[in-house]
Amino acid sequence: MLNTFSILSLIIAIPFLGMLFTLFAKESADGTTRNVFSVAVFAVIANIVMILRIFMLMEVYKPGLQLVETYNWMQNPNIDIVFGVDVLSLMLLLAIHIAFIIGFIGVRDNLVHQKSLMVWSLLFLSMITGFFVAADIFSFYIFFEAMLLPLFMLLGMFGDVKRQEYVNRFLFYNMVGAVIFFVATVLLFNYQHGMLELQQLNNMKLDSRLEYFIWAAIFISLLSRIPVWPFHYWIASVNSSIRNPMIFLISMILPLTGIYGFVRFLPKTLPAILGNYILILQIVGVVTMLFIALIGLINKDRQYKIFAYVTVYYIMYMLGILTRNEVILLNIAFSFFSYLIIVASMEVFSHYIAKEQNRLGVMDDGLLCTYPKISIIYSFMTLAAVGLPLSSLFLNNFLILSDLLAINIKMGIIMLLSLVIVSSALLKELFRLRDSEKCVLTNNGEDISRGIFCFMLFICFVLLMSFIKPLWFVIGA
Amino acid sequence: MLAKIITLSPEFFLVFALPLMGIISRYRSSKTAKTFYSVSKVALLFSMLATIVFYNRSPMPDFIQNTTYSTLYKVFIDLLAFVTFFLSCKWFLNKNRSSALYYAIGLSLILCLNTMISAVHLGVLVGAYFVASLLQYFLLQLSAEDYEYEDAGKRYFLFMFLFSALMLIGAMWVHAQAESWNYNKIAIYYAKHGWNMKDIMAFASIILGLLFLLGIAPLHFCRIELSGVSILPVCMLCNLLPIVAAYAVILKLLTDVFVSMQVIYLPFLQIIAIVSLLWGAISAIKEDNLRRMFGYCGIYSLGFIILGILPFSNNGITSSFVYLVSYLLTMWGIYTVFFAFKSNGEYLTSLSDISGVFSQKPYASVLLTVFIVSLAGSPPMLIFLGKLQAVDNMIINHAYAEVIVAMFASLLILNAFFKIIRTMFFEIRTKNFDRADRGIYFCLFLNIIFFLVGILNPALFIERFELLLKPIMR
Repeated sequence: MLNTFSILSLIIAIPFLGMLFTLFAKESADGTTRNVFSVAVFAVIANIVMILRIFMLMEVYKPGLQLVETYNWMQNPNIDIVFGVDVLSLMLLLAIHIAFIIGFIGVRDNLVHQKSLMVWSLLFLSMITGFFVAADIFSFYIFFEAMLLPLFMLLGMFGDVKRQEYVNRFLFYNMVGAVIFFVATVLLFNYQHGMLELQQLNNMKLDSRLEYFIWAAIFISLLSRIPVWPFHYWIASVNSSIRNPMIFLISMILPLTGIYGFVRFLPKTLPAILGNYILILQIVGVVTMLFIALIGLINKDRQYKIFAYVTVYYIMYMLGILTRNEVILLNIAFSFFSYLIIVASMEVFSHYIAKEQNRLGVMDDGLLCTYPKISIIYSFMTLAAVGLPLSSLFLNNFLILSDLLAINIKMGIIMLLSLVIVSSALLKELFRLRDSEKCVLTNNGEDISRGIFCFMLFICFVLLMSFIKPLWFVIGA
Repeated sequence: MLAKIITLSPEFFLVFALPLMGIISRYRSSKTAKTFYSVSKVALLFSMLATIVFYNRSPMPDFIQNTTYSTLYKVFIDLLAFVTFFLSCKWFLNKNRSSALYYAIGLSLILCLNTMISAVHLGVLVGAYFVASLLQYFLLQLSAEDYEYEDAGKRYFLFMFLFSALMLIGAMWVHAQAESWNYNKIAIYYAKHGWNMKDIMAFASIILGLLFLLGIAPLHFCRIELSGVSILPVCMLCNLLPIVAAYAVILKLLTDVFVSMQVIYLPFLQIIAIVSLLWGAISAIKEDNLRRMFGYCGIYSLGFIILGILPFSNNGITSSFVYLVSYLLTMWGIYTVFFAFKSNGEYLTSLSDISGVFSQKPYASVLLTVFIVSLAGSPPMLIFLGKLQAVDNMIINHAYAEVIVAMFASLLILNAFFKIIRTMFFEIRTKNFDRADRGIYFCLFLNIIFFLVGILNPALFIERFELLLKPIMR
């Protein structure tokens, strides 16, 4: 089936074309990079409009992938590239695009390699968009691996150059995962004697030896993206060395691809062979969660606290997905939407606070008194992050946790404990920044502009609305 | 008679250019590299067109026979030579050096390689092989002003002579047994009478010579050494063209002539392919000289190509050819970027020379990254198509151990590739790079167009390749 209007291909193409325009955009005569920045922002906004249009075109409560587009890529072997979306993938895409806009705000005044930052970011966005609309195993693999190059370039160019072993570690873990995935893909392709759409994975019948290898390969490759032991190592190392909010954000989006992979690959009824894998994963997951949450509480670095928060939530979502409960899956989709936007906002404003602190040469205790606009946004985001009823995170996380507690009480309790620890770490940090007794009052403080403040208020509104109704922006949903 | 002479026009155009260049060199006062490039370009273009027109006409059917198979490889060699000559012209102009000899030897080399591909006579094959090897040695002499190549040159000459002699002895033995030099008659003889130990030795000596020309491990030493001590035009010419010819001839001999000896050579090729994969990958990591590093990447890629072709099924033949074409297109791009990287008129060879090059040459650096990522077989780049087909073929043949080795080697070689990317993008610039010629960017643009078409619509090429490769398919 070939659609005359290939809207899904278009949302992959728009950031890619934006990347090309950015690559050839001229920097202004005064050395500023406003042109480059504007082109990049325009490309992302254009894609957001297209995503909203896709929401209008699809039936949001219909199960399965919709708006399917098929292209014959190769005849021998016969490979079709299939694209398709459902509510989960579209929600994630929308959240990622909004997070990108927020990330761009965080780096709008950056003058170091701004063009490279925009080019590689847009390439990453194009690849990850392709990943979320991939509906067959080959396109899934292609985008799964293709997104690594832009991330590698971003980490290498904007991470701490002296500590490049982190980048090597990132590359090693992810490339091993990608290579294993490649072999599993070709094996599956041969076993099925042709194309394999992700929707057909549920009905796949494999012989026991092959099944063992295929699932092991899929688990290893997807886990290589998720901050769970022993793969958490590269993510922790990389994120502690990054001081650019955009790169931090992009590297934080990468684990999402692993989580999403589990959603797409795990069959509705789990094969018996997966029982052992899942049990091991649950144990490793909760231990990692608790461990990271405790480090986040002790560590004084604000960025590490955000990282700990992100990690704990990712593991919780992963464990939720492993239950294969439809209700949990839907809640995770809605929860992810707020989660990504909140993390992006917190990181951007945390970076802004750190920059101001360095500029003024003061301690950051009570620093937010000088910046009322930042204070409002940062406080809102932190409170939404810890689970107050300010976004879809509140209700959906509540449902996910209650279901997980019902399935396995011990696992649920450890998970709850980790969430409490990581939330208290964030709250502690917020109270320290807003500490009125140590209030730093200075006339030199530069709060965010009115335009950005209004935009962030709009984002807060979007989050609030997602609490009331997750698909509020879809007419008739 | 006239028809036979006309059919010989591809060779005639190449031969005709040689005395013409001699006359120009002797009598024309205002001659530059461009002059000789123009003559070579025209000769090559006409030769290529004539090759396509007479794709199934054979002037001397007992010695050389043209088929779609030979035409495919010959046209490919001509195209690569065309690009190499174009880029080399820039090099000679920049260095203000005479290029007459380079173009003359280059055209002669193309003639020999084309003859090898079309040959159906073992004597012609060995003769053309010897001359082609000798011409490569002469090309190496052109590097005398820039590099200390004497030791490497002597070694190359010695081994070239040794392998030519081995090939000759092998061919003579085969002739003595089959009482013919003709491929078909030899094939029929071995199918009928079987083979003994001496036949195997004769076969091995012929194949070893060709593997030496191909530059696969463990016979790669000369090619790698020459890459390090030859000037850039020679390095590009000798690292691209002979590979195509050697591969075409090996495939033809193994599938058409010595097909009855498959039981013997399949495990042998398997071992050679695995050694090449690992040797290429490990050596590339340690290397700091860019040309040598890409030489080792070539060995790794050849390992993949050989592994993908076994056991000579139709699928394997297509997949390996796709890999070969993708590899050569990628290497064309990489060498083009090498022509763009120069500082104070000197072309750069060491990895440290290009540190931080991105800050001054962003487009060339990004394009080199694209080619490197392709060489790594990462999707959706061009070599990924070859890699996918090769691994698919291995899995169809249940060669799981080979898949594991190939994947392990592909992980190893990534270190070398990312070392280059790190140096270009993440390190601080130490040199001031010269402005590159517009022609080089045009060449890169052309390469990227091929790349994009190949990536977006691989079926366009693959289907046609399958048709053209039919003569050696079962």
